[in-house]
Amino acid sequence: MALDKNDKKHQPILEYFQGKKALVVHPSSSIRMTIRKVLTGIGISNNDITQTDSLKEATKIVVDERPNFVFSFMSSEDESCLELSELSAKSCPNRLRGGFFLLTSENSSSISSLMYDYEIDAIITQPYTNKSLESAILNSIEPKVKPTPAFTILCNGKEQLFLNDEDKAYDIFTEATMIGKGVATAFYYLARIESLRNNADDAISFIADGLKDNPKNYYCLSFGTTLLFDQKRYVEAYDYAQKLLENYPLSPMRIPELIRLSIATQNFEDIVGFGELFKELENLGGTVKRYISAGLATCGRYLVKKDDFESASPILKEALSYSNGKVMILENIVWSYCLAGELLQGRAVYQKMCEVFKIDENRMKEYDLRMVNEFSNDITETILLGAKIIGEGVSSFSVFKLVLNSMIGLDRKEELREDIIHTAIKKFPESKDEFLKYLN
Amino acid sequence: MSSMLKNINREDLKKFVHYILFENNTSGTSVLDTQQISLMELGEEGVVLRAPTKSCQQKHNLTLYLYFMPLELKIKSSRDLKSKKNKHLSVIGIVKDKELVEGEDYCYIKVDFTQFDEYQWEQFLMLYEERQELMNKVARDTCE
Repeated sequence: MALDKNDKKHQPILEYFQGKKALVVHPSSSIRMTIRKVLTGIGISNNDITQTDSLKEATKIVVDERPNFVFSFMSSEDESCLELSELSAKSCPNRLRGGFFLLTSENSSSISSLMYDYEIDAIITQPYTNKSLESAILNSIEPKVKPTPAFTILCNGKEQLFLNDEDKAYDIFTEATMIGKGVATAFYYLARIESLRNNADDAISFIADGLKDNPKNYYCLSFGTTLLFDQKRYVEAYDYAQKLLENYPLSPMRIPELIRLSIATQNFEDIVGFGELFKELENLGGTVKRYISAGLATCGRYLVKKDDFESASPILKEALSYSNGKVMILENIVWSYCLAGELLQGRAVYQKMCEVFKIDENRMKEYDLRMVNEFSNDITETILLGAKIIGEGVSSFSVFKLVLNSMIGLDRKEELREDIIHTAIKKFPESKDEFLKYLN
Repeated sequence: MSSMLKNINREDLKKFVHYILFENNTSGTSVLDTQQISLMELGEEGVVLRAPTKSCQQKHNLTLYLYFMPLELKIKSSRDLKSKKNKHLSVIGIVKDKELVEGEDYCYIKVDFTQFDEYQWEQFLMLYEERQELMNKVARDTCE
């Protein structure tokens, strides 16, 4: 639905988009075509729109062609578009003249927080209609079409940050705080600059100033939580996190941090409660699932370390159910089983999950060996398993070292070692001297 | 210190979603796994779907079933597709375009509707337009 060019109220929008360049990134050409139509309808010339089906190609286009606006898909398997948003801001640093739009089927309220944690102007939820696509763009662009003095000065300050001129940015944000009310975000940016300069106390003080101006400012509450946590001021960080949750939907990316905060404040009710809160949640997007899983894995590991395997076990199971095959999370979970003295169970769970999620077999075997080496009471088990997987073609440097170190520990006969050493040298000739030391 | 959990709303984490499945009337096959197919774009008289590569070909005739959550009956066979136990909307269309994605086992298909209830479809589109409005509102509120 194109904007009516004869309608006066549309003139500022059409003028705003005139001469601006856009990039559309999506694997589907049908979808790229629809977005293109909507963009031409709101004033971007067809010749100024570039499109690609890959994020890799998009990165190159953003660097070379510096489009003002980027429309990119995000899949639950690939979040590299978030890096593209940062790159896009650097290539078009004054955000009054640019924007980044994310297309995702993750349409939960909580995913909207991505906008503030990254340089994203709007989240376009899929499936979209022409109308919803257009409304998302126009809603987010409105403050840029007729910017207030406060918004303009904020964008000018951010521009200097993207250009890595902190001093200039600092001066602009300081000037912004003198406007009067509605300056909390300027204080947040001053806090960020002080944090970059390793002045944590000054940063925290700016956050407090920002919250005096607006006690609900998202940026101040969010960054304040992180700053206070990093300074080990856990009780205050918890208080900020509380206020953030009172006012905004939970950001999935914050889940692991909130859980670490509950652990740091010894809030046992939270730690067990997170397990209950996330129990059997349906209709979750892949990104949300992954962060819940990582958070629950942290809860489970904490409880295991507290020797409370009874409470940890159901939480670890929940963590597994949400893990979506993300290998680091799976490994964190099974390591917790091993810490609880459940090596066999940990290995079995890991093997099963690797099969289900089709995780690289060599990686699986290597991690299995690490578990056995760390938790088995019998060092021969490491040697036998290590020799077996080397024979099967697993040949990473660390596997050779691990097996050879175990052999020395057990004082195995040299000829048994020789085979492994020769295979290792064949694979890593540059480390010949290091491996030959194991002969003596 | 009161627990932060009381301020977390489980609903905030959930996606707003309709499951979609289809019967391929040309090949006589069906897609019955809700995880394998998703709605990408809703047009006034058609949709773009992400679907398994081998599920259809260009010009095939499909009956699409869009289910409102929650599903009361688990769909195990094509006979379950039109069960009234699951509130759903059905439309018939033809595969206008099929785009393969290199290295992936899914494709994008553009389906043009040939038989559908216009009123029901408009109501369906409005649900997603309202969802986007909600996201826009969250954005505006957070900006303040």
